[in-house]
Amino acid sequence: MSSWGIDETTIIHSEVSSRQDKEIRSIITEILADNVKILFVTAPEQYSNKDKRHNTSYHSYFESLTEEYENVSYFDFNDKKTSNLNLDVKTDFAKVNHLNVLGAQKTSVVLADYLNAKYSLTDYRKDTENNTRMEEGLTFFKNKLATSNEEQLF
Amino acid sequence: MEEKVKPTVSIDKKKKIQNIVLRIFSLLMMFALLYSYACYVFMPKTAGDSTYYTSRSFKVEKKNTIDVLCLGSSAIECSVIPSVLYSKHGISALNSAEYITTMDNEIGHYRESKAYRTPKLVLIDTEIVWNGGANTYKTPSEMFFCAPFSNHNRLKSLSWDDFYFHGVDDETVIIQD
Repeated sequence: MSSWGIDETTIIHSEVSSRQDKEIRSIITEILADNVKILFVTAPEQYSNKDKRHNTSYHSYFESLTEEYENVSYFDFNDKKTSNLNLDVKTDFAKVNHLNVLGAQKTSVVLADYLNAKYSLTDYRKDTENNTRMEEGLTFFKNKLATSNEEQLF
Repeated sequence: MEEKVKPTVSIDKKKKIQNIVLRIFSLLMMFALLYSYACYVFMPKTAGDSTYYTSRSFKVEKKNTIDVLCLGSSAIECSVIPSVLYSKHGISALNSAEYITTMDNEIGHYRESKAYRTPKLVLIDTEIVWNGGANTYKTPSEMFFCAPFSNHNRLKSLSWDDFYFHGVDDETVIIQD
């Protein structure tokens, strides 16, 4: 039986090879050299203790990276302690590790709040000179939700 | 008399060799032209045809207007809706994630995107650690010349639009969709 979210009772497997670690570190070094911040994110997925390839297996690895590198952060959408997503396996997933439009909206709202609180990003809603494409995208998405009879959650 | 005959034979041989070389060259040229045309036919023409284009939509956005660039696999592709981020807090984000991706593909996207913008933040899906996906990094020219192989599944869905030239480049391709 699948469920969403991990807590202190969840068994977490840590399986990052030295080659994978080397590649991740080279990506981090290259991006940080451009003075760009990095946020590692583990997307929501259904959890089963039997599945060893579950992405939460990397949870502790990425947590340790944030301690090593300045400007590298980690957000695990599955961590019930830090994420107040409260996803429902029955209604919010298209498959085990893919959200449907409801789940994606819930996740994006939480991510938007997290990014807004943690980083100083430009509010493009006020920048009418540069936000034409974003406004078009938003209108398109809202229309798509309306025509497909999907609930708008933001 | 013998001295006069010898050059005639030699010239014939030369002509024969020249003809053979010319034929081989013509054949190779014809093959190259036909293969290039096949590449064009099989190359996806719209963003809807291929995640190769959707994951590179930074090319059509206004320069230096994307603050958050999302890289990773389908898990992030299905989780981050840039329009919601914009609606909630005016955050300008672009979801460049691509299904069954690899680390070199994602850093390749990042390098390509730098020609168009430098984001303030790069969001990276932790699933790339798995690194077992099939989508390794391909430059635009590699993508073009591999098209008959990498996009052979388009055979059933080819339309008239795929067969004639209409000034396709990466930018117009995305805008068309």
